[in-house]
Formats: sequence, structure tokens, C-alpha cells
Amino acid sequence: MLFEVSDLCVEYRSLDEISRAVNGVSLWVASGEVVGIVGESGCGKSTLALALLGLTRRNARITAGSVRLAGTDLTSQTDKQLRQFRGRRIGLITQNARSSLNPTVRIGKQIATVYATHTGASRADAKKAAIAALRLVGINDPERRYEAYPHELSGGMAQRAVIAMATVCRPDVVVADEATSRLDVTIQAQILDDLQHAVQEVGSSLVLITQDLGVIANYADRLYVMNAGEIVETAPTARLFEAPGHPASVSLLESQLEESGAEFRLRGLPVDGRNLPEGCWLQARCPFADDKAGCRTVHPELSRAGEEHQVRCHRTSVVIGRAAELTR
Amino acid sequence: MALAEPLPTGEEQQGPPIADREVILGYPTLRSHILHKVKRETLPKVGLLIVAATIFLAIFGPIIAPFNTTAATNLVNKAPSAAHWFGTDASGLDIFSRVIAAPRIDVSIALLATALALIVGSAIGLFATFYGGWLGALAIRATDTLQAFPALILAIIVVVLTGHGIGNIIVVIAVLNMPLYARLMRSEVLRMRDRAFVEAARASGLSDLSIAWRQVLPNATGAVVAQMSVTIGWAVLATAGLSFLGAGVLPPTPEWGSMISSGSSGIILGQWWPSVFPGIAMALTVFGFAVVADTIQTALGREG
Amino acid sequence: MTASPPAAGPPTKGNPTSQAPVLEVRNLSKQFAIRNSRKLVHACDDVSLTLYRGQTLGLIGESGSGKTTVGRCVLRLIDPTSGSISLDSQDITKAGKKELQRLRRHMQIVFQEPAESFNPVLTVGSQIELSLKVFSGLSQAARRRRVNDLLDRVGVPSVAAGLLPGALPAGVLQKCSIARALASEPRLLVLDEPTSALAPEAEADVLGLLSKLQQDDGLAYLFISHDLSLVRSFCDFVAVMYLGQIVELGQKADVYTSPRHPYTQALLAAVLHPDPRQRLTRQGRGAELTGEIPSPIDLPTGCYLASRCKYVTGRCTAERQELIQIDASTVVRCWRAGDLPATEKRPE
Repeated sequence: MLFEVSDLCVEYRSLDEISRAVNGVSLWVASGEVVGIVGESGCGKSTLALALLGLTRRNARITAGSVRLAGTDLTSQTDKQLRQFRGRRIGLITQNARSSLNPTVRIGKQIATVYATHTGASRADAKKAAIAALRLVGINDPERRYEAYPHELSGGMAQRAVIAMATVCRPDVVVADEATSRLDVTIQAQILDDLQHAVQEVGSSLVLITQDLGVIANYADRLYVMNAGEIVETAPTARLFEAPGHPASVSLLESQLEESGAEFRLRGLPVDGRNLPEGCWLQARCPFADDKAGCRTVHPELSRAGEEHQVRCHRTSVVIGRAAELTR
Repeated sequence: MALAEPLPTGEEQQGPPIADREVILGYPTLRSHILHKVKRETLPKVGLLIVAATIFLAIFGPIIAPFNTTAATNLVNKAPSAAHWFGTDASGLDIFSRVIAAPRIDVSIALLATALALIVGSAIGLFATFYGGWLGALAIRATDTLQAFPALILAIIVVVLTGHGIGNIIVVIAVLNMPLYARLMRSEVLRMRDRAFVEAARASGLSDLSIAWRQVLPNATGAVVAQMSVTIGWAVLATAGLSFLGAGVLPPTPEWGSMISSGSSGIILGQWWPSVFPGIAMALTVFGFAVVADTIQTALGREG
Repeated sequence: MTASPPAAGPPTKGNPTSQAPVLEVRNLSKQFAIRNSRKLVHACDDVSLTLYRGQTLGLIGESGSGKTTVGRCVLRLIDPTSGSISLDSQDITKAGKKELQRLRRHMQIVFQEPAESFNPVLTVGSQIELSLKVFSGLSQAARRRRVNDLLDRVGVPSVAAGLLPGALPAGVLQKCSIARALASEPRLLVLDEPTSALAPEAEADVLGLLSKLQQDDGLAYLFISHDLSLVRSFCDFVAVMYLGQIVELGQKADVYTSPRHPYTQALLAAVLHPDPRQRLTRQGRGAELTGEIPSPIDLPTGCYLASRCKYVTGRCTAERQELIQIDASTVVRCWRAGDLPATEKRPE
């Protein structure tokens, strides 16, 4: 089962201005794979997450590209058709678990409802499936927890309930957008383990969208680095940590590794989606920018920098060389 | 392998040149939002136009009126014609002149009453909630009780007991609307009391009074302004209603409500113009204020 | 094995011992009453610590550990239920409103969410100026100049002073928050998760600034955080909190390389390192803590960790645990600390 995004573009309209949030993003996830999408805040990853399920906000539109799940293009489906996919074939877990749960309905019922809606199962069967889902995500005593209201659960429990809800129908793809960033460290590891376990059991693909390098270093097989709405680098996890080829990747690594300085940090603020310059969009912020390499005139394309390693930069070889100092 | 530019010290943030406040803001301010809506949509334009016209008439109405508005003549009950656009009433007074002279009374009462309600009500709400204590709780209970009374009936009773003066009407309308502002302030204060910036202000050594006045109050202005427009519209209706029932402004002072009232007996006789024109004028005015209130509310909602 | 009131804090680090501590907290406890109920929420219990000029004490713990409450109590933004707080050897526990207002200049706070900590309808500059208005007695022009100086010091362009908080990105705004805290020339800065809401680049920026300021001004920092790696790189001393109690306090190196308390051990084991080469499976990580965390309303009599600790014995559940002095600078709230197996540390 292949999940493939091709040249996806999402724009925001606000009071006559158009802001390009996602610009020609292409990525793919194979069945059973865990893929990580990282990038600084404002790079467009959350917009991307929503766009994958066709859930972008009112003032945003998908203007080009496709999102294919086993051949079907989700972007060409109506909202009614998409509802068949959401929850059943593709699931989303967001950062704030509590806002995904209806505070007036018991969690067991919420999960069972999702299951029943998509499979037409009987109440009894749906309840069984919900209990199984709760157990799968590491909730002890799921029969009792089935009856709990969201406010009776701790933050970690609530997040687990949301994961259960997203995986109960055994979707082909699960998208987790900063699913654990607000949780305590002891809970985070447990939940990620449970999520990985649930996903492996079911045979789904997992897309982890996060800024936390610890999470992706420990759970992702391949990585995509986003910046200014574009994929600027993609590589297997180990390779990216060893030899990052894009300044944005280096910047991210540097800010999270202990005992490092600010040498390779991207300066200033994220690029304004309303005013994208000629040439590389990072030129004003990049410590490696160089006129002679065409940084200010030619917008770089993704080019090969190793086995399964692609980088969107004119100065890749320099970056890899300099970054080696950073990553030992 | 040389880098194009010297690397930053890590403390400088070179943002884009800060030229225009709204470009940087990335989201529109309340003011620009309202302006944008006014420019774009017709309804806010209409509302604004009506409000402007009403205020204009409030100031200049009696001056530009073609005929005297209170001296009775013998041109009684004339239908609308070229000379008298809206016709004349039972006392021979030109209705058009009276209709455009009426806002001075209606709008003045409305504005003054609203201002009074706003100031007193907000003060009570702000201090009762911010300082709390038994006094504060008592004050809030008192406003709640006041709000429970059917407004117009209370107004009539008070005016009948205290007399017909315009001052009395203003006070009554103000008192009836005070609870609204007290509640509004109360909910704003509750919303902000535990926010970090209030704590930060306290950590900076500010007194509670200072915090209430300088920190909390400015945040509540948006909601208050929206409520004001509604109150003004209501006040116009209330004044007209009181006058209609004979408990407000007395004839011959031109006032829409009393005009509708005195004209109502003539409708059966086919004389529709003494009631209908003031009625339309009043409806339009209230509508205009309501639309303005709505525009502000929506813009506020957007801002968050 | 329990010691008499343990040296509740780190000894001076390179500072003459004659210098008085900037902050001294002894047996701080705070309980919150629950409406319509006789029950109490025990937010913090018997917290003691000492902080000297130029030092940073990290207060780490997960949600519900009480670390935020401690920070608020120290600044008297909340009133403690019992215990004492001294600022520069002056007892401020019972200080009245007027006195507090005067003392507030010496201790300031930086909050987690920069956007929340600023009034959205007033300019950033005017809010930084507030402290100056209260404490400095300078003229308006002089105050404005000071505001610009402060912004300069934290590396924010002075145009920011005229902008509304919503116009500035989080990292820059947090620096303005620091500028505001510095306005009154405090000696103690309580930093409540100052970078948790920031992106990694902004975070590194702000931390760099804080280090520099500490070096230049000798500020004492109480650094509250849930981020273990962050605290490790930034703090000198570390206090680990669990359910309102300090369970371990010592020098950073000791706490991180050889944690004594089972909770500290579990906490450190759970940290995900950004290094794919050190990837551990669930089995490898070991299920350190199992079971349910007790409610702060119904705390057990004995050790609070008893229901989840793999080393638990009868004595743990029966007796209330006190802090034990392990060595000159370390205290642990576990009577078994001496004989527990040391955890294997990962190669760094």
C-alpha cells in the first residue's frame, strides 16, 4: 500500500493576500514504514498534515498536486467521499488530544462510533473493537476505561485514547502531528512505543511530524526536512544525522545537539509566504549562501547527494563538509 | 570554501525592515478589519451611512427643517404633497420637519443614557470582580436582580412616579442597561484575571488598581464598543416606546414615538402618514446601529 | 539514616562562603483548597533549597510535580501555606503588600508563553517601561532610553518597543520578556519553562542570552523545566521533583551521571536522544515506572513513588520519606539510595 504525495501546493488567502504555505511537496511512505517530517515552526508541516486529509482551514486551498492512497487521488474527492477515507484509511493525531475528544461523550463510545461508522459493525462488535484498540495503545484495564469521560483521564491517557481512535479501523496511514510534544518525558517514550507497536500490528504506515529530533532519531526510518513549504532534504535517518546536506537541516541539528554553538543557525525569521524571492528562498538567512553558486538567482531543485539522499541546495557538498564538524 | 558573509553572533535577529505595522502583524488589526469590511461589503456601508445621517440630523435637524415643528397651524391632516413631503398631522405640523428634528431628542437621550450605563456599569463590573470580596459579590447580585425586571414596565413605572423630564428618561434607561455592562466587564475580567500578563504586571510591582485600569480595561474596549451600538439602538426604541405610551417625551416636542402614538388614531380614517414616516425613520435608525454593532462584533470575532 | 535538616542546597560554587545566599527556601509547603470539599491539593511539600549569586538551580519534574508552584511561591505570587522564603537574608514569607511591592524589584519572572505574558493591546515598550515606572523614578525620556538600552542588551531591534506583542515572533518576544524582567535590576530570576514554547533555534538563542546575562550581572536563576537535556546543559545544580517533593538535589554532573533516586533514574532513562545510533527498543529502555501515579489530593503515607517503584519494600510504604544527605552537595529522598544498583549510563 503506497501513500504518495506529488507536487502538493496549498495556499492561504487572507484579505486579498495569498500566502503560499506548501509549495510543491512530494513524498511517499511505504506500508509498514515510519517516516518523519521535520522543520522549524512556520515551515508548513502542520498545513501539510491537514492537507493530507483534506482538512485545511476555510481560507486555505489545495491549488495543485495530488495525494494518492493506493492509487486513489484524495484531492479530487468531494468532502463526502473523503469522509469515507478519514478514520478508515487515513488517520490523524494532533498535538492537543483534548480538543480531539468530545468532552460530553465517554471515550469508549467515541472510539466505538468511529469504528461502527466505517465498518457498519453492530454495537457489541464496535465495543469489542474499541476495547481492543485501547489495550493496543497501552491503556491498562480497558474495559473500565471504556466508560471514562475525557476529563477523567490524564494528559497521557487522553493522548492514548486519541491514538486508539485513530487506529481502531486499522487505517493504511497514520499521520501524527506533534502527537507527543506536550507530554511528560516518561509518558512520551511509552506512547511512542505504543503507537509504533499499534501501527506495526496493523501494518499501517506512520508519518511523524515533529520538531523533536529525539523522537525521529528513535522512531523514524526515513526523514523529510521541510522549509518554507518545500521539501529541502530527504534521507534515511542515520544518513541525515551523519551527513546533512541542507543548511536548514544543519540548523535544526545544531540547535538540538548538546554543547553546540550557533554557527550554522539560520538567521532571522522564516520567509514570508506572500513574498517569495528569486532564487533560493533561504538566501537571506543562510550562512552558506553564495552568489557564485546561484543562490540568489536560481531556485534549487532536489538533486542526489547519496543513496536515497536528495537535497535542494546549490551548496550541498560544502554543507556536508562543514557539518561533519558538528556531527563528529 | 569561504562563506559569503560573516556568521551572526547568534543574538541579532535581522527581520524584514519594519515599514508597515500591518505587514509585520501578519494579521489585521481591529481597525483595519472594520475598514476592510466597510470597503468590501454593502451592509456595513449602509449601516455606517445611517448612523452618520442620524447624528447629522441630531445636530442639524431642527435647523434645516423647512417648517416650524411646534407651532400649530390650520393645515390639518394634509396628505403628502409637494409642499409637505410627509404631509401634516392633526395639529397642522409638517411631519417631514418633525421627523428630521426628532433625532435630536432621541439620539441625545440614547447617547447620554448609553454613556451613563457604560461608565457606571463598567466601573461596577470591573471593581466588583477584580477586587471581589463580599461587597463585590453584593454589587453583582444587585445588578443581576435589576436585570431580572421587565425593562419597559419598570421604566414606565419610574417615569410615571418621578415625572416626565428628559433627565428622568435618561437615568431610567441608563439604570436599566447598567447590568449589561457590569456583566460584560465581569466576564472580561474573569477571562483575563489569570492570564500571565496580569501576573507579570503584579510581579512588576503594579498595584491592583493600576492593573485593573491599565491592563484589564484596554482589553475589554472592543466588546464594550460592540455593546454600545446595541444599547444606543435599544435606547432609541425605549424612548419611542415610552413616549408612545405617554410616559416619555410629551407632545408637542418632536419625537418619533409620540408621533407614532398621536398619529395612530388617524389610521382608521385612512391617514397613514403621521405614523408611518416616523415609524420608518425609527426602524432605519435602529437597524443602522444594529448593523454597525454587528460589524464590530464580527471583526472582533475574527481577531480572537 | 535520616539527617537533621540537610544542607538544603548547593554550597557556593567558587563564591566566597561569607556571601549570603540570594534565595533561601526552607520547608516550603503549599496546599490548595478545593471548592465545596474539605480535601486539599498538595501542590508542594517540604521544599528546601538555597541559591547563590551567579548560580543556576534547575527544578525538573513532570506535570503535577509542583515545580511551577514553587516558582510562584518564591515570588509571592502565591502565598505559601507554611515554610519560609528569604531573599538576600530578608524573610519575605510574611511581608505585607506594601513591603512586597518594594521587594519585587529584586526578583522577577519569565513565563513560558511569551504571547501570554504580554498584554495584547499595549505596546511592548510600554510594558517594559512599567517596571521602570514603579521602581526607578526616572523621567519619561530617561525611561524610554532605558527601554531601548534593555532591548539592545537582549538583542532585539529597538523598533520592537513600538509594536504590539502580536507582531513579534515568539523568540523575539521572549527576549523582550527577559528585557522586562531585567528592568528592575533583579538579583533573582525565576525562569518558568522559558523556552518550552519556542522553536529549537529561538530556544538556543534565548539560552545563549541568559547565559551571557548571568555572566555579566551575576544573576541567580531558578530554572524550572521538564526538559532534562536542556537542564543538563544549562544548570549548575539540579533538583528533581515528584508530586510536590524534592526527591533528589545535587550537582548537575552527579545527578545526571549517577542518579540515586529511582524516579530520577526512570526519568533519565526515558529521554530520547537525538542520535539514531543509540536507538533503544522498548525492551532496551526497560519499563522503569509502571502503575498509576497517585493523586495529589490523596497522597499515600509513605513514599509517593511506592506504587510504581521496582525497588519498593514494606518500609517504603509505611514510613514517610525524608531527605537524606549523601554527600556534601547531594540529598536524596530514598532510604535505599545507598544500596540500589547504579544505572548503566549510555556512552555520550
